[in-house]
Amino acid sequence: MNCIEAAEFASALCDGEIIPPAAAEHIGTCPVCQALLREYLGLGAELRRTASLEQPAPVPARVWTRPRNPLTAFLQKGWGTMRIPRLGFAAMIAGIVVLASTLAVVKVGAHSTGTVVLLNTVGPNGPLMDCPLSTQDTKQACDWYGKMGSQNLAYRVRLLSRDGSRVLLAIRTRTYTKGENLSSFTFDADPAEAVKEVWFEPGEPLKLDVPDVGALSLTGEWMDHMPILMGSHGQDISPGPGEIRIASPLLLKDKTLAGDLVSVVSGVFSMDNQDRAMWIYVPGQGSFLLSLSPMKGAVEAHVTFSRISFEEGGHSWEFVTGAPVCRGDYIWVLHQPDFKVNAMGHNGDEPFVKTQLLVQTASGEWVPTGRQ
Amino acid sequence: MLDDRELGKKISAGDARAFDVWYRETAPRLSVFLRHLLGNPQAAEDVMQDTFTQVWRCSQGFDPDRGTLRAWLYGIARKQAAEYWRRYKAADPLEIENAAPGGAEASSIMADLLRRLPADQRTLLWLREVEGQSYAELAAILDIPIGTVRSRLFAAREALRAIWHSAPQGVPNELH
Repeated sequence: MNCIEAAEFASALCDGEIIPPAAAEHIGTCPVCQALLREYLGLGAELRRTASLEQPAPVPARVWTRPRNPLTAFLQKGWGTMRIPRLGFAAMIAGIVVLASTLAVVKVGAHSTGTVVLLNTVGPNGPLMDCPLSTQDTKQACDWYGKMGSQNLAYRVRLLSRDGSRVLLAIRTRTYTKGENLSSFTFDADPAEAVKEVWFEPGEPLKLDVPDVGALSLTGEWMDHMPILMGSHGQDISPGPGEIRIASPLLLKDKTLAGDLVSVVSGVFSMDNQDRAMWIYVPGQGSFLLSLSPMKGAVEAHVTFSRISFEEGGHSWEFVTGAPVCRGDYIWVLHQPDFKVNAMGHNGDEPFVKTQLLVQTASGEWVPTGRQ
Repeated sequence: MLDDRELGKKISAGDARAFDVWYRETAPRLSVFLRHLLGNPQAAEDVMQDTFTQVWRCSQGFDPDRGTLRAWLYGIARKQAAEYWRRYKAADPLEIENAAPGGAEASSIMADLLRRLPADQRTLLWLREVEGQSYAELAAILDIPIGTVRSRLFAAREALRAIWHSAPQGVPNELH
């Protein structure tokens, strides 16, 4: 071992460490390493002497407090001051847990004791409709008309009867080839159309094959009430993108009631086609077309949640509805005060809410066609 | 006199009286150490107080199986000092060399020479030579393997020796 190798062990010796025999032997006989060892020891002593010269400053008195967790403090205090037997208290807590669990089980089991089946239908292109059907009013029906691929589809569901946890559904479907006017069709006008009766158990999916369209998928659940808002899939109270919703609308003209359409739309009327406008007819006030697309001759109306306000013909108008109308702050309203509904075979004394087809001009404006 | 384990238990349990006794015993020496580490008496006082505050708040974090209470305290103090340097952007302690020293420091050649060492070496030498911390305690304080302590101490001693010998004229370079 040489002095360079032994130097680190000389340092270790200062610290009272045991070093290898070879290093100890070298340091014991080498005057250079012994001098280094003395130097290290001297530096250490000088350091301690320096520290000893320091007058430690008096430390300020402090109060040591720790923020306590309020819940922990409450529990600790409650446990410490408890006046009933602690075993009894623990048994009570256990009882509450068991009771709550039992109630939860009962609640889960209660789903089959409802009187309304919320039926969801999904087609090959996505959701068709949510349909609440009551077991106590078998005259109700849910209809859906629309394009399904290259076909037009008309779809109606009714609930005929109930047997325990399952229901008997009457399902009618009809497809139309492209070009046929689907809007003129109603099942009521075609009673001879075949009815398919199927048993359906909420919770169990059901597949229904429709020729030329594909499979419709039905799922459902029991509910204990008829839902109020049934405008869109999933019952989200927020309108979807491009969607217009009208629920039990009232029309105010110069702050005075000019039309009440609750008898026409007792629930929610919804549409989300850009090439269609919401078409509201109010006897004595004319026709109102509502669209998110700019229509020729229309005015821009301000939308505030469930109110549509606009100025037109020297009057202030406001539709007040029971649900948010659309996502945006503005909507286009085309008022046609002299629109004659008699020409389309409709009684002019009865209000209606429908949709009307729009066509887009080369300039980008949308023009109503008068067709549903 | 309580041993580390008992004292640690009392402090962890929130025994303010036991902690205050320990604070009064330990704080003066910690304050001197921080004064030499930071070179600024006011900063040392602030860091010392912050260190005890943190120790009191996080006393459940003390594990007697991993080291002594004193090593834990000095480890936290070292981290608080590093945080002080980071906050005031004085990465090199020499930047604060000109800070006004205490009266005793001004008269100490060793204190001046010590300040010229890198902070890590100054810390290591002080804790070993003045505080008498063991290799195991130093390893815990500095977050380094125990085998590294010996080589770092050797390097620190060599650095101090070199500074001592290169001291300007008028500074004695012989130890008596």
